[in-house]
Amino acid sequence: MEIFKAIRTLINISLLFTVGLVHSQDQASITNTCAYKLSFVSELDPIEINRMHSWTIHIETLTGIPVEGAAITLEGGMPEHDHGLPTSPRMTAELGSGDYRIEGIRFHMSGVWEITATIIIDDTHNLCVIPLEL
Amino acid sequence: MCHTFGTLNKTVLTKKKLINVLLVLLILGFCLWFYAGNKPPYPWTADEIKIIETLHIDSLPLVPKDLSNSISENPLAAKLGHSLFFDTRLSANGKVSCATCHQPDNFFTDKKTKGMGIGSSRLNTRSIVGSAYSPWLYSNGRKDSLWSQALSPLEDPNEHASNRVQIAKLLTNDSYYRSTYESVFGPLPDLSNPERYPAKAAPLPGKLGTAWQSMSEQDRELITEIFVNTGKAIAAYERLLVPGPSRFDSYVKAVSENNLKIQEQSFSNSEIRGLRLFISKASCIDCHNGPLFTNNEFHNTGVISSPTDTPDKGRIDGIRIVKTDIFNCMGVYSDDLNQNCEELQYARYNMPELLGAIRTPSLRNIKSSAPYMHSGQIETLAEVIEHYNLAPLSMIGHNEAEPLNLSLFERRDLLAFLKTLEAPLSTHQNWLISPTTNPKNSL
Repeated sequence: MEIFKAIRTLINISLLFTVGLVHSQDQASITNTCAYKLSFVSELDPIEINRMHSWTIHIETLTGIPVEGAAITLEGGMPEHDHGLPTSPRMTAELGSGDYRIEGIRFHMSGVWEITATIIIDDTHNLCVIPLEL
Repeated sequence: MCHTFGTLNKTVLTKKKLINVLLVLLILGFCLWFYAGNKPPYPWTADEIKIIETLHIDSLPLVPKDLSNSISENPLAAKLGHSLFFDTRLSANGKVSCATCHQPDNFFTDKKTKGMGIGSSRLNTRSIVGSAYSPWLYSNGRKDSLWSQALSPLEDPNEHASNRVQIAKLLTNDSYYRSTYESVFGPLPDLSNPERYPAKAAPLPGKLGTAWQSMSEQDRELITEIFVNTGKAIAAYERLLVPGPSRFDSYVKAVSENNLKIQEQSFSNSEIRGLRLFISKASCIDCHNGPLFTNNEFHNTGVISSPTDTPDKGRIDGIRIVKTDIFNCMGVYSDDLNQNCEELQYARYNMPELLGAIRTPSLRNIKSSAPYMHSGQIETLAEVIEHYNLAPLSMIGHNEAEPLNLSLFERRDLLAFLKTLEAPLSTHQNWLISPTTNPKNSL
């Protein structure tokens, strides 16, 4: 059971590198791929619907070096239902060693969610999509 | 003539045949209806059982703490709130109390299209049972706590049409209220000087506002604090109103325990099929999830406005109002000194999908809560199902829902299931009657 839980947590927590959509006019400062490796730990494990909670997002380079000095914005929604998150989560602290706290996360439906984390470092925006199934 | 008689005979025969055919069709239709109603459903899968267990009343946690109301769990405050809830003296004409619209016998609704106090409300009366679990109150969520919500009808000209000075004076002049209030909140001031405290005043337009402006800032503050505490006491009472276990809950428990006998006793085949539709094809569970059958979030589902009403802008108005409300969780009257107020801090704002979005109501005791929708636009539960089956274009904003394509039989099954959510509240009976009708109330 412990192995199963670890695998499940790994699957839940591992984030994929995916192509993001770019809408900004400042194309030069935006990368349309996620240039970092992301993982997160949820304050609620497993994540429950209808409960406000926080995440700690860890960012590192593709070679495994923690990324510091980033700003993160989190948006998302349910593609099948054509609606967004019920809240507007915000980064509230940089915790060091590539860790960042995001507060104000709540999901209000079970199903497939798609969360977009925008990682801003030195005016460069990286859009990383986090798939999530609740 | 003979020819004419022959034609008549033929016509009679044809009519007889037609009647016979219709009779046969009617019998066949009845048989099909009967068969469809009793067709045994297939057994629940493990995944389905997990889903229906999330709806069971035992998964309802304790009522969450309200940090903005420090006396919300004080039993004496609840007792004070209980009396205030039923007291018609909290109105301009002495005839309207909270219980006028939120009637305990009707699961704290009133069976009317729109609430009726001194005048007609703009909205259908929502049940307040289980509302302490919601971060937002009203259909557009323009209030973020029970106490803040309780203040609004008191001064609404169409509801209680009272005013905060009149209410403060009632609390100071009535000996029971005075002693109970002082035990909970501390000493009440002397409000007997009519020069300082007019009989009626509130920060509202007209004469009430003129009288309010004539008062010193310090006195206005004093009165508002008593007014706020009135709301906090009412909220302490309302927190006690929670739903009880229904036939649905008995069925789910029997499914969890694999008790086939209780399953058969508690649910018909039609109700079982309706429950399956609820969690699958009909997608009701998307919004009506959890043990209260609501996510307390805001969704535009294309409900048509009443003929005389302009379309309700829903959450886009609600969030704007609550953010600037002096009685919100981050305001000076909130007891949340750390101003955690997560819901308010992280609420969505100014997003197109909030236009026309209305808060999902609980479905517990939904059969007894007609008429339906935020302005009572739909009279019966069957019509509500029909509405979601069609998912019409929204008058304002975008309808999130898609047509369900449920057959006549499926709609009947879904309706049968929804009727299984009836149950008396788990709240003690003494809280559900006016304290004045039960003077020996031992609570």
